[in-house]
Amino acid sequence: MEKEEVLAFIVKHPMCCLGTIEDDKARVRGMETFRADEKGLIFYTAKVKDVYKQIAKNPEVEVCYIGDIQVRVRGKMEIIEDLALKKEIVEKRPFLKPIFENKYEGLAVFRLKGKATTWSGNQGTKPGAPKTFIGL
Amino acid sequence: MDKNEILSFITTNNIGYLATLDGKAARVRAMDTFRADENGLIFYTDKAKNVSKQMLNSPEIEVCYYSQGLQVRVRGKAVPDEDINLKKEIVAARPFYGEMTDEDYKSMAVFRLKGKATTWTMESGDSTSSFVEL
Repeated sequence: MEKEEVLAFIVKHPMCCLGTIEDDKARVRGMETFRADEKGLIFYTAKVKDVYKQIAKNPEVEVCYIGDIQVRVRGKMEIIEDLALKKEIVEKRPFLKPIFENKYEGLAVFRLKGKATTWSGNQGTKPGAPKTFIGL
Repeated sequence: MDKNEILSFITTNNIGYLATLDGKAARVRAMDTFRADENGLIFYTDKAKNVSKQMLNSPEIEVCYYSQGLQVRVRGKAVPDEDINLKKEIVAARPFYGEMTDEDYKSMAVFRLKGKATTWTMESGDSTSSFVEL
């Protein structure tokens, strides 16, 4: 797959699972991808949540998407404080309004500029064969 | 949810997202849960795969299941299981394995997770203050 195809796949399947680390223990939960384009993948959460604290401490994450294939994206999460982007996210996700409208400092936004690897059941690669990565 | 309801949810929605540590970096991929019962959750892979090596190096893992608005996360220590009868049962139930030699069985990796679970819904949020032992 090309970079553009991977990004289109993520746009079509925005729900992923986000893996993080908490004190040398793996953690994972469902996460919505707000946007996926040339500039990276955008995620949001509340700063009071453990996932925010885990990423602030160790930004080396991976996300996994499933459709007819599996796409994994790994890299360093960047915490971004872009007020215009926060306002756009709250505007487009009405359930966030009661919590974050005019209290944007509590909303955490992350950007992941990572590399992707794909897998499908009929790929036929040998177990443990080196993965091929696509820079996003 | 009580323990039996959680195990039943995992049995119905058996594809989990398994998170591991690769050194200091997080990794996550989809994984078939072969079984979920009183004796733990059973996963299988190949010893040559990174996921197997990662679980041996850092056994503290978490698995996430999601269906119809309910998320279940199970965390705990992954323990390798070399029970040949269990391996044969998995192979018999998963036809994509095909014919297996003794070497193939040695290369097969099975892990058991006896962990604790936490649930999440949009309405109720996280239940991380009240884990359910599985």
